Amino acid sequence: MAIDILLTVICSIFALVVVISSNPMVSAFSLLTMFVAMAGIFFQLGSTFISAIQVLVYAGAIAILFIFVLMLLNIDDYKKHLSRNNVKPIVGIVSAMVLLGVFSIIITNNFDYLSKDQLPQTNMMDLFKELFEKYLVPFELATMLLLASVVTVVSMLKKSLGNNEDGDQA
Amino acid sequence: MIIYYYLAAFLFCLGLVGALTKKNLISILLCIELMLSAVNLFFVLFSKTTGNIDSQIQVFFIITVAAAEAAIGISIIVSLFKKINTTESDEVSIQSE
Amino acid sequence: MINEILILLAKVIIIILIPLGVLPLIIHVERRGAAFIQKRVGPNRVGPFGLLQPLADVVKFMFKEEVAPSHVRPFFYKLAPIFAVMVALMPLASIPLCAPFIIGGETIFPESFRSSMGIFYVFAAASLGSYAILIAGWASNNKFSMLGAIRASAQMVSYELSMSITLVAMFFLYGTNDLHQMVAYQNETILGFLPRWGFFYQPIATVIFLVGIFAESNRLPFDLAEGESELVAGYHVEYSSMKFALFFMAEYIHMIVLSAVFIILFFGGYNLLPGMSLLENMIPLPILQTASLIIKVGLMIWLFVWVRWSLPRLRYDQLMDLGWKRLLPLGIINLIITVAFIYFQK
Repeated sequence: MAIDILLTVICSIFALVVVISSNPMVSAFSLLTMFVAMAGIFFQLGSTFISAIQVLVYAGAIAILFIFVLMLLNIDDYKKHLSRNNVKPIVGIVSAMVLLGVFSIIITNNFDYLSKDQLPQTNMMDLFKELFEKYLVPFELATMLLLASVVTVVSMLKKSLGNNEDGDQA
Repeated sequence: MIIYYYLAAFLFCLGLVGALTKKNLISILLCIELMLSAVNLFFVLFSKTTGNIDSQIQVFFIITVAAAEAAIGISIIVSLFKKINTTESDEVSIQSE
Repeated sequence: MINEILILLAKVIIIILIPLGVLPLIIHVERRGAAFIQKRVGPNRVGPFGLLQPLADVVKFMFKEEVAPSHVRPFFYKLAPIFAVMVALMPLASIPLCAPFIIGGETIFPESFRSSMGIFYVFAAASLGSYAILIAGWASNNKFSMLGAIRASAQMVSYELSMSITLVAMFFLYGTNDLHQMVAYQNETILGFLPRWGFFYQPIATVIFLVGIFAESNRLPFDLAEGESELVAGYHVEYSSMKFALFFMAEYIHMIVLSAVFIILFFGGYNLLPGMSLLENMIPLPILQTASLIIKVGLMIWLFVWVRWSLPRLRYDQLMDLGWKRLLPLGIINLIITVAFIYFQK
């Protein structure tokens, strides 16, 4: 139980830093920390494969892409990246209402009826079996999506960079 | 385990606030990633609550979509930066008029 | 309960002490090996054969004045070296030194963190290693450091991809992601005399993985992150004394970890070396297995030193060409052939 609370606190603090910080680099690093902490939560919940994927893809590829581009563009005058003050009240009210709505759903539905010992331990092989039998077509579509995104990125950057070699490695 | 439900809802709303109020395009993308991972957490929690493995597979697909989205978003930002030398969302909309 | 905690503590201490204890020896071997290859003498003044030279270096590092430039970002500047060593030590938690053994009716697994993730954990933890370099490069607030960090991160991400593809081929071969089962698969022999190592089934994957290790640990011929002739020293230009030593340590620990993974995947892991089974009556099996793993890793380290002083540094576009246009397609072809072979064999 203590480790659950610890992970929750770590996640919330770093997520807050992501939103509050005016320096995009600090946001990116704290987002990375949050991803790793969330992998810890997934491990704590017993889905080990998802937690490994979380670190490998989110922390190992997506966050590094963000940091890489931030360093490449070298946006140093981040002091002017202040947030939009005129929409802040409306956004704050709307998201607070969303938050309260979800909280009320959580409280009224009592999701916590499975205790920790009853949690079904997800076997990695079960997951793969389900993925490659029941979800084969979506899986193939996902690979098509990835291929399409790679082609898009390369062609877009080729056009914007002229005849140079593609510099992005997405 | 109930604490994680609150955490997921909190993270989602935080990401929403950030995505709507930030001015830098890369920061907006970061906040969208935050929202996506909050949804991931919800799916894993649902899978654990119902004992159903299907929602974990949804997480797998969300991660795939997030990777593709990050790559394309970043490349759009990079080509914008090459053209108009900024990553501010306001200046992009001003210059397109 | 207290028993479990003690066992866990012992495992953690052993797994951290082995690389940290071997580290001075590796540095010495590297310097003497460099001297040997270049027909020099090398450090031989401090202690017998100069063996105490690393110790003297540590003392020097400790007592040097720490210079922090005024233009760095202080928090991240201090964080980077600590993060580097921490992340480099993380994958060690899941690397098995010997087979599970039984003491007092209890089966004890040698790794301190055992989960169903298996080798996924090692890879996930190792993939965090590039962040230390990124943080250092960004925090130094200096264009040479920044360029070094950008180069290092692009290189590590590129080569991680081809390494992961060979890893998938090895999954199909072994049919598992558990490191112990992988090693057990390689315990038998083929054709009567050859050990059934992954290397003999997957020579192409072995070569790709080996190149990937060199690129991941930022060693020559891939050490563009710190190319002295262009970037002064890359990401650690601004670091001095013990902070620099921590980066140095992290690089060597990274090397040890990746070599151990390579040995486990392709060269039989902790299986006994030929001839070692004669000693089985005198020395307990776990110690023999640990020793054989350490000997194999030592040979890998010697390979690192050998390659470092034999091959010239690649140019950056050559590096990217090799990663994306050569190794990645080769890895995909290798994967397809492996899968087809296993499918038709069944």
